[in-house]
Amino acid sequence: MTALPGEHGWSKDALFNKALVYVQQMEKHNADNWEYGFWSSLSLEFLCRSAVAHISPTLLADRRDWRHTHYALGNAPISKTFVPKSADTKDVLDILSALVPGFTESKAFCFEHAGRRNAELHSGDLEFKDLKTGTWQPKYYAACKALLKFIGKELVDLFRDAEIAEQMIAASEDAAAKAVERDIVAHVALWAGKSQEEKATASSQAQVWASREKGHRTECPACKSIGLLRGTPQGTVTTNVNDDVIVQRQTVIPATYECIACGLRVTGLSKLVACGLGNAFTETSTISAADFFGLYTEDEMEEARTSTPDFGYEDDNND
Amino acid sequence: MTLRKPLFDPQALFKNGFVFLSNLLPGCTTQEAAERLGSVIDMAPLLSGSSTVQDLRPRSIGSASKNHYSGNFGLDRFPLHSDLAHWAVPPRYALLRCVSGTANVATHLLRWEELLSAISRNTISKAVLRSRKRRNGFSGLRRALSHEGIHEIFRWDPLFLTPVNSSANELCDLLRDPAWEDKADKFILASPNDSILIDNWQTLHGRGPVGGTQTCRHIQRAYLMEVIGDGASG
Repeated sequence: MTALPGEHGWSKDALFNKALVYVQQMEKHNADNWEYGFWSSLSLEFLCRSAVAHISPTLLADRRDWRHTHYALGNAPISKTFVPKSADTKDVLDILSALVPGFTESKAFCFEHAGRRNAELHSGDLEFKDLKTGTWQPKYYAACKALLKFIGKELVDLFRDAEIAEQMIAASEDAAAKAVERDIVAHVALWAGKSQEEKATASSQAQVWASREKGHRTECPACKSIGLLRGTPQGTVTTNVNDDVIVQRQTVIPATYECIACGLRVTGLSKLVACGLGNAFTETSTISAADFFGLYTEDEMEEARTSTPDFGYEDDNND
Repeated sequence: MTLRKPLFDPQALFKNGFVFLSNLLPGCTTQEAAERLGSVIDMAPLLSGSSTVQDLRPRSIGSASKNHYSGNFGLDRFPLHSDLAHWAVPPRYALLRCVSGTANVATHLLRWEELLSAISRNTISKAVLRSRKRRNGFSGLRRALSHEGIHEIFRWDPLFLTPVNSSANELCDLLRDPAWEDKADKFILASPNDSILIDNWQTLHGRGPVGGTQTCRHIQRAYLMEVIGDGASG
């Protein structure tokens, strides 16, 4: 044990600390916001590199020039124009796949997510904009879990909602959830047996019902009518103050789906993920400024005006 | 074999995060006293302009450079902090030994675990701070609560470290509350050789304000990486 002034920029802790900063940046956004996905890709990159550095920082050096390994060993650069270069993401993932238990299954996802990050940085498109969370978030958490375990940490050391992360991982791994596909097939068959008139009436009623109830309106996988997704709030509430209204948004992790047109009901995140309904959505609430800030209402102000006593004051008069 | 009386109770140091040693080894220099306590860190190769034993005297703001606490706080209170908190691994122990004392200038001491009444351990462990200065190629990112082997290191410095993420901002806001100074234990190094041995990984320390007649205060400091519990010799 010795006192140490500095820490190499490629050390396990330095890279983990950066991953932590990026995760907290990610968590400032709703899950279906493109920035959430973008920061997740950066955090994953640094977590991967931290795991490699846990074996040795020298493995992070670009192998095409010995000077990068020399730098990784903590030595000062030996030429004025030297710029240290680290290994490509592909090399990093190859190392992790070979040396980190349980990571092989995540390698393909990590490579794909890094590709999205590169496209975000190098192309004119918003790569993460329409990406459904159900398609990547469970895999992201699973990759992080394997890497964290390797460096002696847990999901709770990185994420605010570690429990929900665990649920998502479990949901994606739940083979029994795939039985929901049989339910959907059964409801498709029932729906097919209805007349056009019955279908139109049922869909119309479902539309009205969904517009009145609280939840996220989503197309039913069986009958294509509008059903409702409901779930558990996750993360912080973002608040925007507009002219007279306050708009608050919060990410919701799906828990149940209901369609009153065909009667399909799906319960549990794992089953929802299995049938493509497991994507996080944003719940938006609009509140009047008066209610939000506890201001007086118009009625209260009118009551105050009418209750004011008359002191017999005479108005101005130019007589 | 001559058995010497233990210099301090290591359990007390572990439990309280510091130990006050009245009239520590009066016949010894501070370096000799520190070497009797444990393994002393030679600071000269690690910190430019430093030496194994450092002399601490109150200085006004204009008399010290900005990379020193005196250059920022002068004779005012020094806020609670850990020494060299911006280092990747700060020195484990700090020995403060009185050369010339005063009756009114207190050393403040607060174990970091006192903060857990107001903030969760999880938040502290996720607080990422950044050092003001960084050498090229070196990371300036530090977590407020990290590990060195099996030991926890809590670090805090309101001047040399800045918060980088929301957990760190939460910790920073908490420690801005002057109430923590009230909660701190306060010791006066009044007489020569009065000493405080501080576990710099567990305990924040600070200094009270120095009045005009107290600028003669002279403390010597040495850093140790390990301490031994007694003076038994073989």
